[in-house]
Amino acid sequence: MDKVCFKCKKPGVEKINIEGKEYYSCNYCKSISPRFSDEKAIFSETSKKGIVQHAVAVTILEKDKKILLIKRRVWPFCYALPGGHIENGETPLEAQKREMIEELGIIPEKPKLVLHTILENDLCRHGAAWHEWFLYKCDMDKNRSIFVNSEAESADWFSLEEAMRLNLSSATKTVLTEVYTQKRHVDCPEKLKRFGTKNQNLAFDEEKMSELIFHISNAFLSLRNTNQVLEIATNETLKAINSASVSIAILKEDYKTLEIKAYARNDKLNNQPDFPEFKIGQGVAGQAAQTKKIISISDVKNNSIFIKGKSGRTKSLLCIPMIVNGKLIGVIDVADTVVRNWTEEEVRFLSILASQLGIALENSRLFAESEKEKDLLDSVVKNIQEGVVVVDLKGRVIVWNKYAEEITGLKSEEANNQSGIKLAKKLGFNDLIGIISEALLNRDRLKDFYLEKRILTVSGQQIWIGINMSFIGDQGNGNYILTFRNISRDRELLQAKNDLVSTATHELRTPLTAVKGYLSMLRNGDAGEFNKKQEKYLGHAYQSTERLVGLVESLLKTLKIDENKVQLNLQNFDIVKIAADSIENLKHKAKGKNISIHLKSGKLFAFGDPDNTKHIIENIVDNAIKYTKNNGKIDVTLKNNGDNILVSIKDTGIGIPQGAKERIFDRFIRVNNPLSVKAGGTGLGLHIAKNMVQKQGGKIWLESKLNVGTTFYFTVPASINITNN
Amino acid sequence: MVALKKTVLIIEDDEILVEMYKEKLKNEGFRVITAKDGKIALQRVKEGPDLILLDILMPSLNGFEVLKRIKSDLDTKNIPVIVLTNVGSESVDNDKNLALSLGAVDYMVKSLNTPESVVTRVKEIL
Repeated sequence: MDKVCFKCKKPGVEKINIEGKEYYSCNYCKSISPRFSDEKAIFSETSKKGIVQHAVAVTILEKDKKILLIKRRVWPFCYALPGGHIENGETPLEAQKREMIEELGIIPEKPKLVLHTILENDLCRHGAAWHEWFLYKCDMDKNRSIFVNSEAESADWFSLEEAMRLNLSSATKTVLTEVYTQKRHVDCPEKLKRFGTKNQNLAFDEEKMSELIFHISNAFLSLRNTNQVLEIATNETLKAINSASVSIAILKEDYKTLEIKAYARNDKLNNQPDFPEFKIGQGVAGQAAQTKKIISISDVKNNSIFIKGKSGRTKSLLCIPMIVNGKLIGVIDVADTVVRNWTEEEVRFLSILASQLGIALENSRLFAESEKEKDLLDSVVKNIQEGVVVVDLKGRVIVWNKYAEEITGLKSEEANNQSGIKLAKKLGFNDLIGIISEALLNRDRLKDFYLEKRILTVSGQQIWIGINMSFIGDQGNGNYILTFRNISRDRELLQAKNDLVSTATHELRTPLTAVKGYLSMLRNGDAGEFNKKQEKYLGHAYQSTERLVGLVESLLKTLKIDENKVQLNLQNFDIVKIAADSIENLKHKAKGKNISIHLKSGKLFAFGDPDNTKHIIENIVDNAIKYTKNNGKIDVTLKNNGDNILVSIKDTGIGIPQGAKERIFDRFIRVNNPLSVKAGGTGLGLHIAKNMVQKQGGKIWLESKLNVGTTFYFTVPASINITNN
Repeated sequence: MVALKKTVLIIEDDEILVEMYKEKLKNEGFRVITAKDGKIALQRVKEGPDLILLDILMPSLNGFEVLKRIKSDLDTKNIPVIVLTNVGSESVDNDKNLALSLGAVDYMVKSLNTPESVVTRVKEIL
């Protein structure tokens, strides 16, 4: 193939090297180009004005039997949108139209016919800009027809005979002859409607648009791949709206940037949008995204928000934001290379499309998100080192995870959809499924529960498991969720700890008995009289021993609570007497701080364990003494409260900070303050008291104001057969 | 006529505690005999004490067993027995229940009581 100059299309280019790069120098026109062409210029030898670089437009003027050949420069790189690049503020098409008016006295109207399908093969192979030949004037009755393409520079006239002598392909000649002799009738194709004068309003094919929306919606239903759907949407919209380009930009996860996910244009040469990404507020599309409003620009000239792209060919723009529930999803951007008044129908269609696409995109995003979440959850449930079994309302297993498989030896395939009870019968009631079945049989009573049970695993191991069952859902609809784990180790440790505490405390009791006993005998004078100082020292030693004894008792009690071994001797009893006894036991201690204790009550009988109740009152009053400064006051009030008796113990102590109110009943909790250091104590008293109150069927709570005082309240059920007044 | 001294049998393996209770009881006018384990205790019970202070955790024979035997022997079954121990608790408790059901008159936790309070209880019963 001959190398031809890219500019003048004459053969004879020479490869030269400039600064390490290859260029082609033309021997004829002396131009230097980085490329060469492989095609000779057609018509070049027919030019009357020297070099006709390329003929790109033909006008047939029947009256004079002449063909107008429009001469123009070649723009080999100008593959951009139809309408061409801008020179002196106008596109070649506009320039050519102006020339036609000024030089030829022809007023171009709407193009009526396109010849590009026939002519492009022999006249203009070099680029998209030249593909389309328009019949602007096709008024055969008036014997005037003008064909122009989008980029022309000047024109020459030829008669049909002269044209036939030119170097045209036989196909072209045939067409030209047919057009000239009116044998060829060509309907103006849809695609060409837009090429014409400004401010035209062409009929908008609504039916086609509805079809398109239907088509796009369907695509979303049948295709999971969002990009594929967007591709279809842009391509179809491009065809329907007949614009130069259509792009769909989607808001990225940063909620700041929009990314063009699909782009279509009516020439196939450049598939890259000018701005693959843009920020909200940036450019026309960015503005549409920011304001969530449609922006329609018929002419970008003097538009302050418009940002010119690389090709610089955009003349008009229509940007429609996609909004779902007030949330920005993306922007549809339709651009054209001519000044264009976007019609109401076009805007309406694109709005419908935008909302359809927006919803579809949002749905597919949510779907993808939930799928992702579901996958994650599924794998967590499956692999977690804790048994998870879900049983539906009919008692059928619907989830049976890996850990459940390991313990029972039953594969999830075998368990799924099986009745839990049937499985239990098969595997024996002593195992996990048995427990599950038992739970299910009693499910009306046991909505949520926790139990610990010893089971035999498939490997023959005896293990302790802790099972949690909860019901999720509402009546008639929901599932039972059972989680369980091996708590053998916990049980062993707990047992070991309890054994240790139990042994240690019991062992402590004996030496304490001796210390306490002998000290008390000394103080009683069993070994003779002591002087004041000796007595004082003995008193301190005795009190400290008492504290130690108290600590040991508290530990033992806590242990019993933990092991659930507390037994109550429930009976009707005179609670007022118990309260008076408790106060009496502590009067001595209160006196030491000059604190007065008052009991206010009528005659009241409760139902509970009297010893236990005494212990509770003593515990709280003892606390009150500890945390009340010297000369304070403690009121113990008992009230008939219907079903129960309300005991309140009010002190003028230092109070409990808001944040500590709940924690104060926990084990080993002591609120940090200077008095608590002085007060001593194990931090077990209130924990025990709370458990004891609850064990008796009562409640315990408190009200407190810092530096004003605290009131503890607890209830004891009222006597069953003695009516309190 | 001077009343005969009442005899209390202390069944206790801890010598220091034996001495403590013995001293106190003697000071309060009691005659005291002791046994440091269950087997010896059963021998001494035959001497017919007026009251028995019985520990639970002891070598050779534990307190519950000793109590059972005392109460199943016609000669000794009427001797009041106070279980004086450091296991269990004085409020509702399995050990206490067991002791009372076996015929003990009371169940006292040693560490919670002083020798005085033990003697007071002994006096109340006799």
